[in-house]
Amino acid sequence: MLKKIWMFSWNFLGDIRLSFYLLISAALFLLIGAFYSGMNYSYFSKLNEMRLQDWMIQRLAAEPGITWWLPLLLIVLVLLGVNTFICSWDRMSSLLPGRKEVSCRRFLNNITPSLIHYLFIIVMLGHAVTFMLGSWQRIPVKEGASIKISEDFPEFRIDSIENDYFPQDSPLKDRIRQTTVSMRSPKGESLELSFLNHLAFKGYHLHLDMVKKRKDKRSRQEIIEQQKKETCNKEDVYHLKSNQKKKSRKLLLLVIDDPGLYIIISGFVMILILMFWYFVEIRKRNNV
Amino acid sequence: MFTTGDHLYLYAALGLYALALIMYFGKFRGAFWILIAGLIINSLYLLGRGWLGGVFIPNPIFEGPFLLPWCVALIAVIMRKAGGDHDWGILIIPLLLFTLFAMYHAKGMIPPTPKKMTVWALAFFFTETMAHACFYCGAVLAIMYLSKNNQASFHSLIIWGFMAYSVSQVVGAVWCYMGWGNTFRWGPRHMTSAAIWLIYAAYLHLRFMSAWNMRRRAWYAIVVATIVFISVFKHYLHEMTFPRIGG
Repeated sequence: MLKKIWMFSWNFLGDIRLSFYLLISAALFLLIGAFYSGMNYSYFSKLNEMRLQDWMIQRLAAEPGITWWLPLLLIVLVLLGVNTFICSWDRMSSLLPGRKEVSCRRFLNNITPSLIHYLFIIVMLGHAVTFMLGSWQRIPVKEGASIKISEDFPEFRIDSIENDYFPQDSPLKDRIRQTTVSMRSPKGESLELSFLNHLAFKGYHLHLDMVKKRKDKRSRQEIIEQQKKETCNKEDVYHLKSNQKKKSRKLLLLVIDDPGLYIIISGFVMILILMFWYFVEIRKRNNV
Repeated sequence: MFTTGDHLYLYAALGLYALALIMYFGKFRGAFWILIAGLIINSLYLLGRGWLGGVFIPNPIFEGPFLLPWCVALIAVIMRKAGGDHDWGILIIPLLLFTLFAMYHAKGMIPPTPKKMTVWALAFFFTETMAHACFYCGAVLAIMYLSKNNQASFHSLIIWGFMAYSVSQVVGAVWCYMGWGNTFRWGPRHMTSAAIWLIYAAYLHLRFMSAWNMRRRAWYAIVVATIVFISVFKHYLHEMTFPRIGG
C-alpha cells in the first residue's frame, strides 16, 4: 500500500505536465509581485537588505494585501525544484542503462538536458542560501572616520573620498562618474573601493553605495509621500548640483556576506555552456 | 559624431524600412538591399547616441526602444541570408512599428549613474533586447504559420531568443551583484525578467506534451510575446518620464 502511494506521488510530482503548470504559476506570481513591488517600491526594496524570513516576520503580516503572492511563489518554487529533481532522475535512470549502445558524444548529448536541470536546482538552492543566510550591513562612510564591521574585522580609517566628475564643459557636468574611497587599518593594510569594484576581505564583500539623506525628523505623511515617489532611477543621487544646497547625499559601505553567491554564478555559467553545446549539437544532427 | 543628436537619421532609417516593405510585397527586386541600407543608417544613428552626453558613453546606444528596431532588422537580414525562409520580409512590419515607437520615445539619454558604467550592463541590455526581438519575430512568424501553414521557423527563433535571454539573466546577475551586492533584487524589473524566462522555459517543455502540437505552440508563442510586449513597453513608457539629456 505504502509502495503504491509512494509510486503515485513520485509519478505525480515528476510529471512533465506538472512542470509546465508550475513554471507558468511561478511566472504568474512573479508578474503579480512585479506589479505590487512597482506600486510599493520602498516597501519591497527592504527585502534586498534583510533575510527573507526576517522580512516575512516583520512585513508579510503587516500588509497582506500586497505581500500575499510571496509565500505562494515560494511554495511553487519548492514544488518546481522537487518536480525538476524527480523528472531528471527518471530521465537519467532511463538513459544510463543504454550508455554503451551509443557513442560517448551522443550519450553526453542525451544526458545534457538532465544535467542542466540539476544545475538549475543547484542555482535555486544557491538563491535560497543567499536569501536565508546572507547578511547586508550598510555603514555610513565619512572622511577621517573609523569603521568597524565586526569583532573579527580590523578597524579601518577612511583616509580619503575622491569624487571624479564628468567634464564641466559637457551636458553631464556636476554628475559623479566614479567615487574612490581609500581605507587603512591600524596594521597598515590599505583598501581602495569604488563603484562596481567591490573587494573581498576576510569572507566579506565590500561594495560602495550612495543614497539620498533623509531628514532626521519627518512626519508620517512626508515619509509616505517620499516612498510613493521612489523609483529605480537614481541618477539624481549622483548629481551634485541638485543635492549640493541640501547636502543630501550619503556614501555607504555595503558589507555583504553572501554564502550562495559562488553557487549561483558557477551554476549559471555551467548551464549556459551546456545549453549552447546541446542546441548546437541538435542543430548539427538535424542538418545531417 | 555626425549623427549625434540628429534624429533625421532615425527618420531616414524608417523611410528605408518602409520602402523595403513596399518593394517586398510588390515583389520588386532589391528589397533586401534597401533593408540593409536602412540597417546601416540605423546603426549610424545608434552609434551617434554614444555622444549625447558630450563624452562617449555607450549606454544610450543600448537603450531598449532604440536598439530593438536594429535587432529586428538584423534578424530579418540573417533570415534572408540563411536562406530557405521566404517570410523574412514580413518581419519589416514589426520593424516599422518599433521604429515608429522609437521616433515617439524621448530621445535624450538618461544620465548614467556610476553603477551603469560597465560592460556587464551593456551586455545585459544587448542580449535582453536581442532576445525580445527574437520573441516578437517568432510571434510574427507564428502568425504566418497559422495562416499559411508553412514551415514552423518561429520555433528556431524562439529557441535562439531563449538562449539569448538566458545569457542576459546571467550577465544581469553579475552586473547586479557588482553594483548592488545582490544577484537578484526583489524589484519589478527583475521579477518581470525572471517571469519571462520561466514562461519561455515552459514553452521548451511543450514538445514533451503530446496535446501541444505545432499549431497550439504557435498560439502559445503569440500569447506570451504579447505578455512580453506589454511588460516591456510599459517599462519603456515609464522611462519616458525620467529626466534626460540631449533630447
